Amino acid sequence: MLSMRHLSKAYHTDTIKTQALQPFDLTIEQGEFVAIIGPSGSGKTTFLNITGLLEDFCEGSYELDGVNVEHLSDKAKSKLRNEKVGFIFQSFNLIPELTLYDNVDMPLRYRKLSSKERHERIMDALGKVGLASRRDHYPAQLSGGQQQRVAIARAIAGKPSFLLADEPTGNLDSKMAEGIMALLEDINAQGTSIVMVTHDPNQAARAQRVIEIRDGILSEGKRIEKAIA
Amino acid sequence: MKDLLPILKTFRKNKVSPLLLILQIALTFTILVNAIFMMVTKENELIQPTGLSESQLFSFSTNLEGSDEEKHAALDTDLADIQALASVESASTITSLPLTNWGRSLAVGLTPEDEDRVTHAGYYGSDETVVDTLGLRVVAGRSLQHNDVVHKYFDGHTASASVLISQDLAYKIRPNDWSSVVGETIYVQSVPQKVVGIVETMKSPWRFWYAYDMAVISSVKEHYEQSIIVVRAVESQREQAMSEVHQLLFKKPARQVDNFKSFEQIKAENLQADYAVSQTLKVVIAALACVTILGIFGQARYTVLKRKKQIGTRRALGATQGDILRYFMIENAVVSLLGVLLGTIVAIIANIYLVNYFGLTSVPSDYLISGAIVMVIAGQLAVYYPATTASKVPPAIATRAA
Repeated sequence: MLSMRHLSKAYHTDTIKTQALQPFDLTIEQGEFVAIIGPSGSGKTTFLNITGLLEDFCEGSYELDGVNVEHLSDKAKSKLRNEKVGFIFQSFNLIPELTLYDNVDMPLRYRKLSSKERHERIMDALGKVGLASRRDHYPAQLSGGQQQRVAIARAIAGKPSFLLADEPTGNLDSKMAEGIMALLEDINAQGTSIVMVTHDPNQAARAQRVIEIRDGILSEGKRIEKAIA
Repeated sequence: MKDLLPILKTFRKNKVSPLLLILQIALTFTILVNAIFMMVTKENELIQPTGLSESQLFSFSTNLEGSDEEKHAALDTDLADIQALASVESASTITSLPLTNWGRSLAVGLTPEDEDRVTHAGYYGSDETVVDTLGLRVVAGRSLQHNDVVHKYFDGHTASASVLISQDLAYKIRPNDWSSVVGETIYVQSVPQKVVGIVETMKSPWRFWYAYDMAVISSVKEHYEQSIIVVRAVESQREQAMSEVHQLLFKKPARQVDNFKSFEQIKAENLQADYAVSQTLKVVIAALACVTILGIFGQARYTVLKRKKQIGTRRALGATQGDILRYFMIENAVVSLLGVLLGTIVAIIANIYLVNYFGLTSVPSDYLISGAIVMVIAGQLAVYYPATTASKVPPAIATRAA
């Protein structure tokens, strides 16, 4: 599903070159739940951005669902991102002026879907996160955990190949965090791959596979055997 | 137009900023449209043709001495001498000229009675050369002839029997058949005068007067102590003619010459204040337009900076650069359209009020329509740069701290 070969990333200023990610190889298969761990500034967000086509890499190759993304135009990358990747951000990134329904609708509007199909997908996604009855509420009327559920609904409504979760429980208390983790596990159990960046070793332990990034170097951590439904 | 509905929903939740911008656009639109209409009306007044061969004319007043007969003879000699110059096409004596703000106004009627007065008109006394000298166009009847002309020291209209009138005056007298006024007797200050011809355009001396377009040219040569002579130079030889006439006049002893001016100079002096008003209006209009465009620009720029993370999120979720650009352009178009719509309603209400209570001319719908189009285009131009900046916000910003 996702294959990176000799991929690396460096940031350049006039005088300084910072090697954010050393060259690495990585393959993630359909249905895997992968946790990315590492200390702050180790390169986790850079890895997440490259994986989600939010940022370009410098060298190597990257295939997403069989598509070599290296020479894609910005427009083609936007389309691929919209169709293949579901994002879950640490601070939810919901649009405060839009209702839950319209927030979930937002990425679907960038596709040529009929309004009927969009409606079905939105209601289905909101139903999966248990917020269908609050479709006309605004984000500010919800708790942090509920807002993250909306963000998850927005990510899964597009039926992506995988979810990219950036510290999805980072802004939540432990009870809410547990609810979100359970929801992600449930989504993963239904066949959607998840790549999750986290600080929390307990949450990382719930993934089938852990990749550690330290000083820009990726290394395979422990693998937890888990049945994929 | 996939963005239209979300934009309207956003407005519903966040009303203040768009509402302020809508009010600013509405107010600017109303003021701009009215100010432009005033400016264009003023400019049209400034370029309104006088009906004279302006580029060839100059005039002056000169003193006449002695008895009535001597003054009469001196005037004829002056005219003959000027006429003889090669650079001069024609010369006439006349009691005043349009735009000089100096002259006489007389009541015009179809009977001698005051209550039957039709209008007032500017009065000019001149001779059979006046049509050629001023470059007037006779559109009905004939020009003045030598036999029509009488001499009088002052108040020439009481002595003359034949007149030319302006077409506007003829129309005022008989709106349905203005040319039939030729041959009729009209009463100028209760004195009967036969209309022998109608000239296409001849204005009275006062531009702000209600009867500016009405003029009567009586066939009388007034040889007052200070007589006015108007000269038509040969095409493109006016400067030479002015110099030669000046020299000629001062060959005679005790000569006094005053107001020796080209017609353009007379016109420029007359229009100076209005020209200044028109220029000031232009500056005000330009400044107001700039302030509004800068306001839209500033608002859009502020919105982009405020929503940077939100834009990055939209990009991360699949919006292309074109989608972001389009979103901001449509958002501005909606605000501008609502602004001009409100502005149009305000302008129409203000117009009804101004027309009903102050008798002002209402702003034509053309101005409202073109003003609305210009306003929306200006809004789009103002928002284009901030929208382009927004479209270049990298999607990676969505994962970075705000």
